[in-house]
Amino acid sequence: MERDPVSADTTAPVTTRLEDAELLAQVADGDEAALEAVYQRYGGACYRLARRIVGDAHLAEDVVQQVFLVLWQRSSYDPARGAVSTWLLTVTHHKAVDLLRRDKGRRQRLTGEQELLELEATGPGPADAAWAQLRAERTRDALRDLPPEQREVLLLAYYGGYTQSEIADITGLPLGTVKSRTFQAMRRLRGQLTGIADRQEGPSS
Amino acid sequence: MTESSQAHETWEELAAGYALHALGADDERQFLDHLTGCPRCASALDDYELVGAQLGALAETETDELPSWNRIRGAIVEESPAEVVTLDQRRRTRSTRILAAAAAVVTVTAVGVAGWEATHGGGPASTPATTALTACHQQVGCRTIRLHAPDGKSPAAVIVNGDRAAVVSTSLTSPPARRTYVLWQMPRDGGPIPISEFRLTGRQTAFAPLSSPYADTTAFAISLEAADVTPSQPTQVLAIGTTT
Repeated sequence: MERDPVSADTTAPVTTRLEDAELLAQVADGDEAALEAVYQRYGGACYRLARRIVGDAHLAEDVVQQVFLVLWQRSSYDPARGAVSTWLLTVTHHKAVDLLRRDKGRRQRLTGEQELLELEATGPGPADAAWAQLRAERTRDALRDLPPEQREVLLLAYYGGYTQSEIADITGLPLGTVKSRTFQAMRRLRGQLTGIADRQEGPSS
Repeated sequence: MTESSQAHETWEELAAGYALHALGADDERQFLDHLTGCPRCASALDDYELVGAQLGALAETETDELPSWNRIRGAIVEESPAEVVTLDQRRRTRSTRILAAAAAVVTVTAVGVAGWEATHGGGPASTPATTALTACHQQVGCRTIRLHAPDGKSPAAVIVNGDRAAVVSTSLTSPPARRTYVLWQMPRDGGPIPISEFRLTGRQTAFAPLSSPYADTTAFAISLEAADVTPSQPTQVLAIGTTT
């Protein structure tokens, strides 16, 4: 089952899925045009995530370069595990957090959770703006529904780039409590959000 | 809840933390070792990574313009000066470590290979690999460095041509899911530095630039690492070969 959090064209998801598979095969064969097509489709989501985590446009650009370099040189993407957008965002998150950890002076720019919960969803393009708006709003709803203490540790980890030990130091909580709160939050979001992303028919079907 | 499901919930807790890239080094290593043989955790991790991507997709709402393809392509497909600078900067930082780190690598090798041999064993020699080594031997200035596991077997070799190096695997099997191989260079005046990452085996990898001249290199090594995370030092070294 294909699950895609940032499909660029959810009005034609089957076509998009096939195009993604074809593009990735072409990238594996060294086709630069295919790599550019993947970048045009998903680079924006990667860049904005990196930008939000590292807090600097140039560093975010470096992160995106690293992500697409991984894709170009030795992609470990496995289509059986999910959409390429999920893989790209996962790699982007890891690379951005790694950069933060190398430069701890940047840690102070943790994204405010209220900002995350209130931003307007614009989506990657007009064709799927409505679906992107719905998807983002439901993700925010799921975040809002979390108990504040669970949301805090989750956002410190994901957008702050902190390890669970560091979160324990910051919050003064025992490490075990940080782990269990993180797990409870993720398990709850898993129940609410993975079903959303299973949708492949798009808003018009 | 049964004892088994209670025990497994601990692994799923680690899966959630891993998807957030928030585990400490020990937890991460423990989880990856478990993950290799646990489809239940693999499925849970897929879901948790999807949750992470959903959180990440919220960042789509910022209005920054995507850098143009022409602006980033050089560092990806052409190995432009921009990429060289970035790698050099990382390498300069890492090369401040003393050579003692290289000695630590050798110590880790015995443990790493023992575990690796137990789970993977060795594969037959690959014809493309043999061909690549033969071609290097016939080329002036091209060097081959055999990498050896503690049992004396040579699962791979490094080809150095000028200021670039590639790996030729002769009996390396494909790495487990979510793992990758990393080639390390050990210069005389610093700690081990990652040169390239690869998953394909049985043939020659693409050439990657050395971090310092071959003449200043004491050894090369291959380690097994978590995929998609640039390691700062080798964690599970499988084979090592000296240049002299």
